[in-house]
Amino acid sequence: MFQEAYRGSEFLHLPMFALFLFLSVFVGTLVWLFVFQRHSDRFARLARIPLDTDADSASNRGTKA
Amino acid sequence: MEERHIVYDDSTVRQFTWAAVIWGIVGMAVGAFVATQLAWWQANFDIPWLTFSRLRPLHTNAVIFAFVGNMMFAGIYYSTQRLTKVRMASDLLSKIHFWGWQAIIVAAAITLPLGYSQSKEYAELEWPIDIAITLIWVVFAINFFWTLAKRHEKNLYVALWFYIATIVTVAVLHIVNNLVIPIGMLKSYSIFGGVQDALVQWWYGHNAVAFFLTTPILGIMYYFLPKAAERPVYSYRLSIVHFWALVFVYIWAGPHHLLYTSLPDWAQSLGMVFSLMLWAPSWGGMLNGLLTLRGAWEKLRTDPVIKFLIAGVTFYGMATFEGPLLSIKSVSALGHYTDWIIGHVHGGALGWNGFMAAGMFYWLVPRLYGTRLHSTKAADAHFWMGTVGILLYVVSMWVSGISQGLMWRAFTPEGTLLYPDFVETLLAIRPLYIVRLAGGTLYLAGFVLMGWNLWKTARAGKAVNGEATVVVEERKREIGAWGLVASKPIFYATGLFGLCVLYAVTNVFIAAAALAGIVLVGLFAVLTYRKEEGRPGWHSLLEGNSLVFTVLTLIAILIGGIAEILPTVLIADSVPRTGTAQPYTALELEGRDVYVSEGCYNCHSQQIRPFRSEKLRYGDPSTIDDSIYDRPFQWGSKRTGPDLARVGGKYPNLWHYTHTIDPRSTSPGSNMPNYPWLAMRPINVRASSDKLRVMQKLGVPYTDADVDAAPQELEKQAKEIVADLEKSGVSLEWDRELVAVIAYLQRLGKAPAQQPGSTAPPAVTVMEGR
Repeated sequence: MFQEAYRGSEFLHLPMFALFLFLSVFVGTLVWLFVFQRHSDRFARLARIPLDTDADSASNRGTKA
Repeated sequence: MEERHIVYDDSTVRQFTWAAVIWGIVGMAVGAFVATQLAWWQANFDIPWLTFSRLRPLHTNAVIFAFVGNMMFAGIYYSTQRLTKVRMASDLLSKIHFWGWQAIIVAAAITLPLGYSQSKEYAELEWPIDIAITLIWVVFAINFFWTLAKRHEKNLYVALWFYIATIVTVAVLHIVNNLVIPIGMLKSYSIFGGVQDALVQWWYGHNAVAFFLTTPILGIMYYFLPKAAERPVYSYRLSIVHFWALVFVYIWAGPHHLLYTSLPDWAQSLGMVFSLMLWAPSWGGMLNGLLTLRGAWEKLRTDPVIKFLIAGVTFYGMATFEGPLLSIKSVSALGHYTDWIIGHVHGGALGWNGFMAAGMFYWLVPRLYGTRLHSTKAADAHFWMGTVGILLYVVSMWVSGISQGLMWRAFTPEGTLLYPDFVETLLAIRPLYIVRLAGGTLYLAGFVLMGWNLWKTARAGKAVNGEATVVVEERKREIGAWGLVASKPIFYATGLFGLCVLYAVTNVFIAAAALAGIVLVGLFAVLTYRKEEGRPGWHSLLEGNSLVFTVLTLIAILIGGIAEILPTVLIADSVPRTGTAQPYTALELEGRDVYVSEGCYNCHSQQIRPFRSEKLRYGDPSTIDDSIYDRPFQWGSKRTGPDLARVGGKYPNLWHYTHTIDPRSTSPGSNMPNYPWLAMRPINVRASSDKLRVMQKLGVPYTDADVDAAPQELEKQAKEIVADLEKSGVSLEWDRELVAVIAYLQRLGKAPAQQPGSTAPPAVTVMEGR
């Protein structure tokens, strides 16, 4: 049934669709990040999340398991 | 606002860590053992379950799923709790995950040496174990996403994105590639056949590298490298580009494992192009990791954790440079099927995965036991042993692979093959196999040293669970999942994408209108872009909604999978066939099952590429029809021995008998193990009807009469082979595995009789000069 449904379809264009989608997302992400968000300080805060989340890297704080 | 004290579940992290260390040693030791057999064939001691072809899948599965799997789970469980500021959602699910995963590894360690294999690389495990993997993966996913749902940190840090991509993609890959019909407790046939199976398998195989060996380790890099360097990642913006570009592109690259095969050209080109595009995100991520150390490079001299992590990221850069390079068709023509690929893979596995694991363990274990690392000097020694080991391994395999590739295609001035005997190439590279073994053993010794160092560290301290006091803010739901989807960015992106599609696939007038539309919508989107002061942007909201984030990630990877695989699987016209293929007889099918079970595909390909050198050595290039009824396909990926696609009829039955019992009697210098047990073990004749019936259900054109008469036909054909052997004084019972294997090998590549009125197979263009 599936073979019949797809036979003769233009699904070989799928790779082309997807390539355009990828390029759109890629270019869109670059423009958004490096044009619209270039002055945002939000990313600096996000980048520090691993360093802020606990004190284990500095003091090995913990309770006995 | 409320303060909350959290005690993390680090017991699970400790369990996964030790499991990774132990399985790492086991997996690498098996690797060293099978490498020994390539240099000294006698090293299997004629014992079936110690033989290279059965143990090589155990080595690959052990290092990928047991070593890297446990290491990745340790990293994920540790970092996810800290990044979400909450304990894992369920201790019970964590325990089920840990013990379930170890049980799967033990099942693999038992079944693979016994010859229970699907023969699909890195997916060899049979269907009951595959179901267990699915269930345990679901347990892991529930625990992980439940933890995200309970989190006290609004934003999902980039490491968590990579974990999300890992969880959803591995689930999709594992399920699709393991779609089979069982014919017993430990035997099944793939629902895909021939070229379709090849494409699905390498879509899986490549993305096992991408989403099991790469994305989770990148997540670990984005967490542990900043922790060890005590500074934030170099560019969070770059990490966003890195993530989305990687998940979009990686999924497409699988067909680069099938260049110059009978896979349709469009799919090969697609695989090559996307592999080349991978250079950008991979190197973006590598540079982001390396530059995180900016201003703290002196740590590279003193801190073993930083040494391992930075060297690991550097090996990632090397491997992701070499991968796209090998995906260029002309480079693949030289490197494919050779040891160059083995060198490339081990540069990634030993350098990237192994060193990232070591860096993480050296950072983690002292903290998990509330103490300091036992010996920094031992860690430094491990680093240098590992580095020298990798270099010996990789360089020897480069030299071996390029030598092999050049020798296979070398011609005399008269135009004949300069090295017509395959064994000549094998003898030339044997010294390099010994160097490889030395390098691998040195790396293993360093890893054992690490295990000792970590053990001493743990003994010096006591197991502690990390804790933190976090300020819990009430999370206001700024926007729902639907609001996030039905928003301006999605609207504009969808519109632009639709216009791009119109531009690409319609006639010139509509394309011109679409182009104008792209400009107009783009301008409109820019002009109407307004962000209220203090209101978070769309991606910021997305980072706070794990459900929508996961769905978008899933869509990103599905697009690649669907667009690449669907046409080959579902559209008959995209797979040109001549219609001349004939299914295997019952005996040939039995022989094929033995061939699969023994893991012959680990050394022998069944795919002749359209090169003059291969045509002279092996025969006409392979066509889609040659393997259309092969479930699973047996194209292989490495030629330690010659290609067998057209070996049928090339030698008499006696040659195959003698060669299987003692390969050196017919091929002096061969490193193929003896397979004397094939002459002793009986086949299950009565099961042949069931096997044909399953194949019939899968679309192989057997009649009901073929199915019913399978045991009788099998016996008849087997007795003909035995009678032929008896003429040469060889006595063999007709129902032995070796008889079936001979029948199968004699069938390979033999063109079926031309049917009256049928069209002749189209000639395949052979590339001159190769």
